[in-house]
Amino acid sequence: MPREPLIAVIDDDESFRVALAEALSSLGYGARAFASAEEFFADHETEPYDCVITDIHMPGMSGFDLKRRLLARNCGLPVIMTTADAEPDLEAKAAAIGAVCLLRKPFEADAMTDCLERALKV
Amino acid sequence: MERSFFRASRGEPRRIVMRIVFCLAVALTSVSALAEPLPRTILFLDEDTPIYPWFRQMSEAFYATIKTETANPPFVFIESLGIDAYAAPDYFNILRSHFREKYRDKAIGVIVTDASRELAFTLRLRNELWPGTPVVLAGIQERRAARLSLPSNVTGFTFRHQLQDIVATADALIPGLKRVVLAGSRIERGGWRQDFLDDVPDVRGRFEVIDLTGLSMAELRQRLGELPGDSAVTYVGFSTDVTGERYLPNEASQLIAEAANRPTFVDSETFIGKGSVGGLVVSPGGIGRVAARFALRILDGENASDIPITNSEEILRPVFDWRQLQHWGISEDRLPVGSDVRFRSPTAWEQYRWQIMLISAALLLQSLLIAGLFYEHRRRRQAEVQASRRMAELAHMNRSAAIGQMSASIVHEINQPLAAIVMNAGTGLRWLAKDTPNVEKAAHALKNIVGNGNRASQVVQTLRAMFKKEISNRTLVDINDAIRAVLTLLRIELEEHEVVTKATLKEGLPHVMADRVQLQQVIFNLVTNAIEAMSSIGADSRTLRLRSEEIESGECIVAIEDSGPGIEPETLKRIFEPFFTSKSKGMGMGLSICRSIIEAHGGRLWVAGNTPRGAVFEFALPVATHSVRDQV
Repeated sequence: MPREPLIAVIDDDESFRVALAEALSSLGYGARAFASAEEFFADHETEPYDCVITDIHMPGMSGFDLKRRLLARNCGLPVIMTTADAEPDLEAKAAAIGAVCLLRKPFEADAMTDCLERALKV
Repeated sequence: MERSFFRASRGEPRRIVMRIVFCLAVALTSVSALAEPLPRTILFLDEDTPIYPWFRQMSEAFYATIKTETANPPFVFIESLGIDAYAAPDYFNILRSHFREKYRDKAIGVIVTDASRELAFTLRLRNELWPGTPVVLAGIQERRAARLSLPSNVTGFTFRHQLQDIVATADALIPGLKRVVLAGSRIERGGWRQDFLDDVPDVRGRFEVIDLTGLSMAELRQRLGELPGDSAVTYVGFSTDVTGERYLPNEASQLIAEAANRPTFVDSETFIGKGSVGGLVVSPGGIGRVAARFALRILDGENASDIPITNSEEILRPVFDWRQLQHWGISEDRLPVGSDVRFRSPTAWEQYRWQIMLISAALLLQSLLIAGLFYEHRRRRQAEVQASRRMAELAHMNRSAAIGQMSASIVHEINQPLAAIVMNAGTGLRWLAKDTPNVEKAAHALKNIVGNGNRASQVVQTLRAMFKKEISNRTLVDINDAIRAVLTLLRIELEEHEVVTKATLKEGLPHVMADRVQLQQVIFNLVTNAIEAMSSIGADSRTLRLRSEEIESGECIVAIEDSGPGIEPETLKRIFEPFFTSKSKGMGMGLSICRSIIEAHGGRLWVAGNTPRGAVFEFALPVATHSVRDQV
């Protein structure tokens, strides 16, 4: 049996971060949660993540910054973005930078699994 | 000058007596007169009566010359003989005895006479009373002089006087002259202009002559008014017309010139200024001057017989009336060289040069000042409009930005716990739905839901508290001032949307305790909504009504009424709900925030009316109590 995909969850909002990690766990994914993109990068080299689910607006490095840094390192790790903001054109921005999906909070797990499946297929 | 006022006929017997007296007188006085130097006295004998301007002009010039041209001016006696006027049969005798008595003790050095027609009469008088006394004939027409044979000791000077001169002047001044009109009484032999009769054929050779002499004045005047356009009038003197009516030559010349529909030309300076254009005229002043010089030469020792009678150029002069030149449109360029143009009315520029220059300068200065002020005013107005527009834009932006920012943060703050709740709920369900339900993990998820739910409610509470926090900024505010401030801010916007504003603000309204900025924000919002609501209706019916008053409950009421289409009933129900909007743009927070602000001030905001023509929003704020006022 192949190992379960490992997902990195990055969100500065603790309750959502925890909820998301547990949801992934209930869905059969391996999940590791980080409060910031900086924390994630500290761990990134040692762990073979299959996908990143990151919030866009965070103190310090944003979700976009994270994706840009990955691109700069020539890393094709798929990124799914989430946001609680009502800002209208985030989908386009996310697509432009190469994110697999943008999920607007609140969203249900089904929407997320669709995204994950697409992300992991690549 | 017209010498035919009365035609006298003097009797022959008188002459025989006179000759005897004359011979005796010569025998007694001539010898002594030759031996002694002449007394420095001049006797001026005028044939006519002094009524004529001719004599006045001549004698004035005569006197002036005598006075200025010699260091020792002789004494001048003047006598008007009035030969025409006093046509009594023995007039000569009367005059002679009168002068004999009058000049018994007066020695006369030289006699000057303007004798022209009655020369014989005058010379007889001289021969009988002052025999041998030298005589100066002052100005005789050339042709008349040629016919005279003068006694010794008589000299004088002549001038040219012919009809051709008048006609030539008219011809020079009037382009295309074809007809010459002779206007006056009949020219008669023996009269002053008798030689004109000889000139007529010559004139006829070059022009068509319309002879209007010998008519009554009335008829003459009538005919003169109907002259053809290529004609000119030559005035040949008028004394007595066919009806026996007498005229002074001067007044006749005026009557004729005024009646004529063509310019009138004359031959005497005395007619200048009486309606004629002028002409090459005989100048009595010139005659007076030349005569004075002749008299002085004789008094200074020259023998009268040695001075030949010559033509004097000084007598015939081109003189014109400027007013008539203007009237007939005759250019001064056509006038002979050296013309004397009289009655020139000075141009306004010549007359009031300094005044005009001063006034012009003042006007110029004033105009510049006005222009400057206009320019400044325009610039200021433009600046005002721009500033006002920017203020309104800024206020708009502030409002939109503040509301937008607040909305965004509210959305974010609510969405986070909601997202967690949704996520946890799904997780819980999944743990329970497994083949071996993991109750522990499901319970953990449910606990998280409770926590997140509480967190969401916390957000809402914080939001409410936000408006209450502002209490420290509250001061006593005059609601009317706040309304006026907002109207000032929105003036340009109101003008641009062609909204007529009618404010009925109650004077002396009690102050309220409020955050002035928030209160103005509410009014600003309501007025802006009103303007937007009216944008869909015709510009001529856009009316914004603002009203403020105090009601008995101790509150101040402000009503903002528009004339727009009103609010849909569906919309009305939810209008104060947050995020509810009927507009394409906007977050739907405006009215909600307005209500929050008003309620935070202990007041109320509601829709007071919603007729088909317009919506009325009203809010009430409690009047500040005394205790509050004291605290402030």
